[in-house]
Amino acid sequence: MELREFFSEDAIKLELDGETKDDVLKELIGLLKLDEKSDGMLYKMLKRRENLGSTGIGRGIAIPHCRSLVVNKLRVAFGRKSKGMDFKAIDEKPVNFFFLIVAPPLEVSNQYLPVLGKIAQFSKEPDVPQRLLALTEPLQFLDLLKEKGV
Amino acid sequence: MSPGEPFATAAMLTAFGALLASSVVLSRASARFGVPVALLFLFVGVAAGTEGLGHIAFDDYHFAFRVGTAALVLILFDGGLNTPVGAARAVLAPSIVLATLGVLATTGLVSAAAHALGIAWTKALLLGAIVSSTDAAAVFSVLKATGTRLRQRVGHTLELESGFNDPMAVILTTSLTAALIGGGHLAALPLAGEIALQLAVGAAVGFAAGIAAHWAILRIRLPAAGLYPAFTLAICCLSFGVATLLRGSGFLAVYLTGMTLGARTLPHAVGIRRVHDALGWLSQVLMFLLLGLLVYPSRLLLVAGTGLALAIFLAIVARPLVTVLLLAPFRYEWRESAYVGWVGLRGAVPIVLATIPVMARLPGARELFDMVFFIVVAGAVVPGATVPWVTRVLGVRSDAPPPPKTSIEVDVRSHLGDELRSYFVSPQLAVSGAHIRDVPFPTGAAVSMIERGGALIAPSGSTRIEPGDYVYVIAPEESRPEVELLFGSAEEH
Repeated sequence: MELREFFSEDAIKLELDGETKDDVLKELIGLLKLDEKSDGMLYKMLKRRENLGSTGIGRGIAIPHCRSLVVNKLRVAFGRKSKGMDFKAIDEKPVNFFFLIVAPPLEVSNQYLPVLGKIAQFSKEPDVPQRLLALTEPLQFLDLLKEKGV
Repeated sequence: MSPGEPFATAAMLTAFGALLASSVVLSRASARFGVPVALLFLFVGVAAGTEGLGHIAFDDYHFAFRVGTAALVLILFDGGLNTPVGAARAVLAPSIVLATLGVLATTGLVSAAAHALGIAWTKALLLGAIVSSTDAAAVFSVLKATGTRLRQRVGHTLELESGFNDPMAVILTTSLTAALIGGGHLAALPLAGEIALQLAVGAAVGFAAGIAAHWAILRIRLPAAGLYPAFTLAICCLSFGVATLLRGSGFLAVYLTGMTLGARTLPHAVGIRRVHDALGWLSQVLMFLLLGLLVYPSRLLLVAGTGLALAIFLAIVARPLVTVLLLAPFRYEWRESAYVGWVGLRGAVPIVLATIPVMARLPGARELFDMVFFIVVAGAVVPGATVPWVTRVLGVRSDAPPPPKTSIEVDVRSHLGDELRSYFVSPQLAVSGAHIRDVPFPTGAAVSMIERGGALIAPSGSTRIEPGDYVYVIAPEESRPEVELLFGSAEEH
């Protein structure tokens, strides 16, 4: 299983507009191109998860995630906010990079936890924040995943 | 051996044991009556006093002040040691504003009310200063006894405020008493300078003592685990003593030293915390017992009218008004500010402070002491009894799950770099419903135990993590972010 198989170019946004945690979550959900009702349900689920502790894991990276009925297969999106924003991350530093993961409640292939683990592992690589900041187009994001072998 | 010994000592210890035992056993009644547990200790003291059943004659204000001060030092150090510094940082600014401007504003309002009731301005100001500090322990004892948990932000604000406002009340009371002894001339500017100096010196000594103690404790190898709490006790006394001798606020210093040490990893931390917790409780009992012994119920009746009016004014007007106004810039919900305002109960600090003017032989100081006693008791009984109800009505109860029934603490001689933490499994977590073998743990992290429905489970790879479980994860400190990505924030104990 490789991470890049789950990302598509249209679910990558290199300049998020949102200025608050809530706005960024909504913008990331928008990248999945679901209907309005599903967007609302997803937002609620993501907020519930964030209330249990921020998914901002430090080094400018956050991985908001949840399970929801609104998708029938695992979906992911990536967003970047170059100047960073307060996401109540564990290291209390601003967050620049957002990986959204949404999985259906029941999965045949059990991809949710492995994908979450792989993104967390990818985020730990020392040069990743710098490389993500240097991206100029979505395709380069997919190339970076390929280069890192995740 | 002096004549009568060892029987005199034995009689003293028997009386002390009986009083201590009655207080400890009575603490169970706190839940039933919804009154702060400390108040019950106070009543035991009153009952044992000159006009009570015990007929113990005690009129030594100097001794009561010494014991009260030592007890407060131990209580504040224990409070600092247990303050969750990371979580409390978010409420640091509002707590400091409440503890400084709040104390000044409360002093102003209460003294104006006291003056309106016929008390001279200078003495009214002193009274206002004495009753201006709050005691979070009073609120938490009621909440704990009734099994209520507060929203984190509200709880931490109350806790931090009460740690910081004692020093402020002490400075105001000692300065005002000195001014009154010196002829009643009060100058605002020197007083403000004195407050700033005491707070600055207290903060500097407090932090320095905490950092130095931590440095030392990691390096000295003591021959017995029991000596570590003895060392922290020494630090606690030194922090207060040195700060006070340097004209700083010793109470602020000792609270900050406790906080600085509590935020760091300590060898034998479990033992150290237990000992200071026990010392904190013992101090509470001793202080309230002794203060209770000082009281003559018949004299209280003489100040009952004014005392009751001031207690009501403080609880219903002054404290809520000051809190709501000062918390407004910090974007607290109205219900949160109202709650902090209502449950700002008074504890032992005002009673200890009320002995200062008595010791200084200020005319009318005993009457002031009785009035303070009345205000503290009335204020603790009325808002105190409503704490569980108000918590429910204002909706400031925590949505967090109840704490686990088990508690595992790993006591280490030196910092290992690994921590054992417990996590409550909510259905929204990625690990909810997963088999342990499928959880992508970072290197070095593992589940060591699960508590499910009050039973303990030794986990294996095929164990499923169920919603409602408490999972104990051992992990290196640097892996904490990834563990919390999977399990959410760790439980606070």
